[in-house]
Amino acid sequence: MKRKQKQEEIETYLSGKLSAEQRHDFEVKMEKDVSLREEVKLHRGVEEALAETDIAELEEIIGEVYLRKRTVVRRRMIPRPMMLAAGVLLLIVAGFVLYLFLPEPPTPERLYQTYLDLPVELEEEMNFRSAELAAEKDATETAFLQAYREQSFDAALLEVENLKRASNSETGMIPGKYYFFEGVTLLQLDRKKEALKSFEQIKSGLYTESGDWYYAMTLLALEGASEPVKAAMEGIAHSSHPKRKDAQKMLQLLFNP
Amino acid sequence: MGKTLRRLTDEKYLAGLLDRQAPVVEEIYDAYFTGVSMYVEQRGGSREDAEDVFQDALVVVYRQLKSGRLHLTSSFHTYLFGVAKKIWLNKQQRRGNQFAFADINEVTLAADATEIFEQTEQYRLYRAKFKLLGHKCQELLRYFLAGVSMREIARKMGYRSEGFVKKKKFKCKQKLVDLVRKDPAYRELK
Repeated sequence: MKRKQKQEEIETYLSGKLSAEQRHDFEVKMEKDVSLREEVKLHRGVEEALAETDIAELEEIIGEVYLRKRTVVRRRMIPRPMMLAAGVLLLIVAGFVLYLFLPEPPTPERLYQTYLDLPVELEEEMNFRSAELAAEKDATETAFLQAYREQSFDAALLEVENLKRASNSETGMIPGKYYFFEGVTLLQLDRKKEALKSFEQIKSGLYTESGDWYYAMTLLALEGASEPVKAAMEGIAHSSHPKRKDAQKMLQLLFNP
Repeated sequence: MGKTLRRLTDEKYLAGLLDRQAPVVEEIYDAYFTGVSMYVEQRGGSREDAEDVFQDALVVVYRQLKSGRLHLTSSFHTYLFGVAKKIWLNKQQRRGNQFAFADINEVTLAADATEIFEQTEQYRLYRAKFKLLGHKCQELLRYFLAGVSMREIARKMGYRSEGFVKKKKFKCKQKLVDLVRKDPAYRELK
């Protein structure tokens, strides 16, 4: 059975939309087929896990506590002179100890690493394309997507260059999608300055939202808690952007600790 | 700490955990994480292992609270530590650590606790893998699992057809399932 057909069958079973007879047949099939049984269990688990929004929220709260606590400097060996004669010296030591144990706000680099959330796979978007360009573009795009998926980011970058060049010579413009592809690939290669320039080029289209997020995060990694970072995060935090909660957290941690 | 004060603190922790109040969760961490961390790290685990165990223990207690099946006969600390210990020993047992087999019987908890541990670990893994998907995949799957129709998903996400949404949904879900399967923890938990 093809994967797609199998997945659809499992989803229909789990949604309770099968008739009593179909349900019975499916359950008989499951009894005989261990791999199908395992697949159903996995799909059911995934669906239930993603529906548990309260537990996801609790895990997120705990994750944030970990993030804050990990930044606490843990130096246990504080020199303590046996005889502290002067009260002034005591105060200095106390101040020093307090300083060591005070939690530090998470660094921009740590936040970048934690919240960046680079895609593991870039999927093809069904943008409208003229028929005469479709075949050639599809082949290059597929090559790029495959290279990215296989984490051959240098190769992926060359494919993006080809895509940009072809598009520019044929239409006189480069779609935001290719700048997005280029930006995330450059981030995978840790070439942040160049990635920032790519994200800046995304002016419209399906990739604007994601591009805004990576732009803000890249800027954060390059500049730290600067005013432009604040403005970029505020733009996301006060919109219906899927990353708005992360942006709100970032604003809280960086600008209002 | 006096008994009355401890009872009041435990009640605050239980109520705060049930309401998912971040400051209370942080208080619980401050009060009890070190103990769990020491226990795990002294038995060959890392700090990350200790964090996973502590998180799962809190989620297990939360699940039991939510279902109304938690009736503490000891202090919150004793119970939470017992859950954490059992989670760690369960993990060790799955990895074939012989000592864990002997130790695990020393911890007695509610009858359904083991089942809840395993589900908690599995579901945490699934959610972690979900976060590795691209934003569009996450958004699409959230809509799909919330029962939003393909047509409505296409409209909300600006896709031109239901057919495309279906194709994309299949790829996203398959990607998620593959990510879960490739994780060694999945094979341990199966």
